[in-house]
Amino acid sequence: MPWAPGSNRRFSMLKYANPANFLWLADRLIPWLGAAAALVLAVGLYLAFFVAPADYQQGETVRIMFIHVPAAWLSMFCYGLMGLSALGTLVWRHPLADAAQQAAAPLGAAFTFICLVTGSLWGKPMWGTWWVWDARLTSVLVLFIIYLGLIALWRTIEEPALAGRAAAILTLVGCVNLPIIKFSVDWWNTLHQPASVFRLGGPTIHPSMLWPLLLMALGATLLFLTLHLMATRNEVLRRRLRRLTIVAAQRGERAPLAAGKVA
Amino acid sequence: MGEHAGFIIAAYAVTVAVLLGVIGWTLFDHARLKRALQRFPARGDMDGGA
Repeated sequence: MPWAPGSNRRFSMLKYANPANFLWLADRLIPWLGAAAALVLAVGLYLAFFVAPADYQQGETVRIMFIHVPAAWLSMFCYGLMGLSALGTLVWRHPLADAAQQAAAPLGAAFTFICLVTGSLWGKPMWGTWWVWDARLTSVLVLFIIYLGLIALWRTIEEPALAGRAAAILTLVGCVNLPIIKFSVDWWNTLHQPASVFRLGGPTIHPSMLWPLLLMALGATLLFLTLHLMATRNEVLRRRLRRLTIVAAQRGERAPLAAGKVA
Repeated sequence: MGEHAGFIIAAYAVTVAVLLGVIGWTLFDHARLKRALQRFPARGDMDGGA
């Protein structure tokens, strides 16, 4: 019987770290979280296109900001989440931490890719170039490559526990890139503008653009969390399938045909 | 949207395409994992590990 609330297990936050309980919770959270993301993003997009004014210098291209900045935020948030999961894998050897970390990597790569492409499409009309090798752009490109490297590492090492530990160590080493990205605009001369939202002394963006931007960032974060829950659930199921397939093979049974393809 | 409409539309189009791809893949992955797991008899014990 799957565990459900009301049974006599002692309550603790850690119970959701048990994979079976995690699946139960994820199944219930995902629809609500997804609906909240859709709602917030819909309101955010409406404000971004119909309420926020065009920028006095950048004109209408400032609309790209409403996806570029949330994508940039998530590219770093996702890596921070993976860093915490890596600690969970290395320090507590928790299987769910490794599943969460593995599920996050492709999402991080996707949002970093969106950040780079939208930045390039914004740079061409505003800076006159698609790309420059300056500190901010290059450090974000390095982040993208680290994501791809991590995904490749998981695929290269067949033993999941070993792959998890190797990926966790590489993830922690890669964390050094996060402050470099954040402060690159202060430490080096770059075409990229300095921070205008999260800075000492408060945001420098006018409220008519700041509020749509914050809503878009919130909506994108909700979407990320929904996708991360879904992907982590998939990883837990994939590991269960792998285990069941191995057990079945050891018993000398014929493993179900489709299992090998997905495990 | 002015003279730069193409850049704005392209930025939003790439974002929507990537996100739809990720959402679609995640849903598809879940469906085929569920299908593959159904071939195993239901177990009384739930996992000890992921």
